[in-house]
Amino acid sequence: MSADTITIATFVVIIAITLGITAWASRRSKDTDHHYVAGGEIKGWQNGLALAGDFMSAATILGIGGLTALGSFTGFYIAAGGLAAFLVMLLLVAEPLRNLGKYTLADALTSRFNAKGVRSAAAISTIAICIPYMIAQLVGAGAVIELLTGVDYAVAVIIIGILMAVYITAGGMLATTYIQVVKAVLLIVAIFVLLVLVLARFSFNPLAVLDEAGAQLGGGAFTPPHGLEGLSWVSVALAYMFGASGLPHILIRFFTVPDAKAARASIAVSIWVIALVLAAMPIIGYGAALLVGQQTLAAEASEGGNLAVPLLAEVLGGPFLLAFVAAVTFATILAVVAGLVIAASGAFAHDFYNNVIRNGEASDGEQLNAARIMAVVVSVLSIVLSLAVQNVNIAILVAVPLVIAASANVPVILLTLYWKRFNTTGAIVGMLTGLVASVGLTLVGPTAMGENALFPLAGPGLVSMPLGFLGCYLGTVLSGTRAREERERGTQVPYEEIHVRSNTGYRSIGEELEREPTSRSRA
Amino acid sequence: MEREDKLGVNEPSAEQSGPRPRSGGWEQVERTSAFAELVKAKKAFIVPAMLFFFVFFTAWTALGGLTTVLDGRAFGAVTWATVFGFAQFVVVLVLLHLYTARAKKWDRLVEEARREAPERRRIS
Repeated sequence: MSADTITIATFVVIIAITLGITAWASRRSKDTDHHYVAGGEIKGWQNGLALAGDFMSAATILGIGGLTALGSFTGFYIAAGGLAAFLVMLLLVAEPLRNLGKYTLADALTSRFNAKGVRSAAAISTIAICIPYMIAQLVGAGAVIELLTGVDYAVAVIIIGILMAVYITAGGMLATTYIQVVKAVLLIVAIFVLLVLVLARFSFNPLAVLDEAGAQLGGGAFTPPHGLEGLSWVSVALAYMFGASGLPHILIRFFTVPDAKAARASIAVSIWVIALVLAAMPIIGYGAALLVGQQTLAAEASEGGNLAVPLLAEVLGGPFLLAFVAAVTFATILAVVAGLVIAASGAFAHDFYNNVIRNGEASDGEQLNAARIMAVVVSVLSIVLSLAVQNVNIAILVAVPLVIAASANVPVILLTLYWKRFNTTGAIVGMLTGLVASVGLTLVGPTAMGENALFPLAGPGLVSMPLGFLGCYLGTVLSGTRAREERERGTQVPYEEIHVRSNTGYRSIGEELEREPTSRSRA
Repeated sequence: MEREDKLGVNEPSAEQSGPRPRSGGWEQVERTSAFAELVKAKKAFIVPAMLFFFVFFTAWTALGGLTTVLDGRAFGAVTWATVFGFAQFVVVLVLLHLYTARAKKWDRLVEEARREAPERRRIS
């Protein structure tokens, strides 16, 4: 059996498993609630694995491994920034958002502001994040699969796109979650095997790996970049730290669990998983640098080192391990893109169609149909765009979503939860300011314009995130209507309600107060 | 069993849009001593923890990127910038465990507020 045959066979096994999960989920995914949030029935630890899986995309894992293997310190920033993001999420947003939200990010915000403007702004920023993110994943996926299996780029993208549409229209969030869980477990196994095999070559002494990498790769491997590049990485790390708390496909994961306790448990599981996987990445990256050899890696440098980890697998375990790592990469791409399709199609179908166009009056059947139709539309749209941009620099597409999340979504989420005077105008202005600033500064920055950049930082988060907060503040204080007046008009709910609900998870105050003092709660 | 579980989640009214008349009652929960204690306890942990972590993380990226103080070798080929990077992992895990330990107490306060709120209504 040739290496390609083994690889394709493992890909077919992965596809069969995911379709099996989808078939099982489709029998339970019968209403809108199941489609978007798996009926809120996912267990904390399962959701934790899925959350970790959402963060550990192919771009993250292959990217960090590649950066490290090529002797760059910056892989550490992405690794620690990603972990920091989950702590920020735990401390500030996970539990309160779980208590306020329903299906989408916009649902959580409109639990305070009864305004179509807020919902529309949240839906626009969700789409502005998910579509580029998805294209970046698909373009990367197509390239990696082409290199690993010889399957044509266009064919690979189309296959993934079709699988996506099938998973989501048939299995909804339930299928997406379990596919993500399976992928997370496979990824952990793959990383663990690679770690052990690398260490075995260095008599199980991690310091020996680091020392030898330092000797061979030179100073850059353990020294961060300085000057303007250093400042740019400060900015990128900041966007990582806060951005994940505003990524729609991550936030909707908290709506799939029954309560805030389960949301907390999910983060605990995901932090441990991510910490262990990311702590292993430097060893694996340096292992690739030492065992694959710089010459081979440099030959693949046009891929940004993305193939360092698969190449290491081939050196350590031959065609079988290569096939396994390739299949895990494939599963990773499928699972992450599926989560993005749910988030993006929710913004179209639930936010725009049901709540803005139909005033929230569409029947459950109509909502479910809209959700499924939009999932297909989003999948097709992404396939077409991915085929169109395959020769464009995808670095822009990778950079933008996280910065938009940090600049447009995070300020509004935090102020909705914690600032009593925040009002509708502030929320809309803040969201649009953050969106325009992050997209605009990326387009005039070095990522898009290279040498002639008008704005010096490759990651604009350091500037665009404060601008997002400033937009929220100025929108609030300069608008004629104060929060108090909005409450009198009924366009904003009393802050006490948000305060109590976000801290306790009560859904209806009447129910709570009618309860007999002695009776135990349903928790 | 799944149907029962989601009753709470499915409550249609609360988070749908459209202005609606609001009946009071939330401040009654807010006024319970258990809720006041809950908010105070959360603030007392989350605010300092978040500030500390923000400073600790930004200090690493800023000192690493803008100065050369972390470029020195700590041991072997490993620089202080790398050690500081791994320290982020340790701090995240420690804060995670401090948070979850405290959150268990907060859950009890939420339950207490639940029991206390209807009593306050009877009194007032």
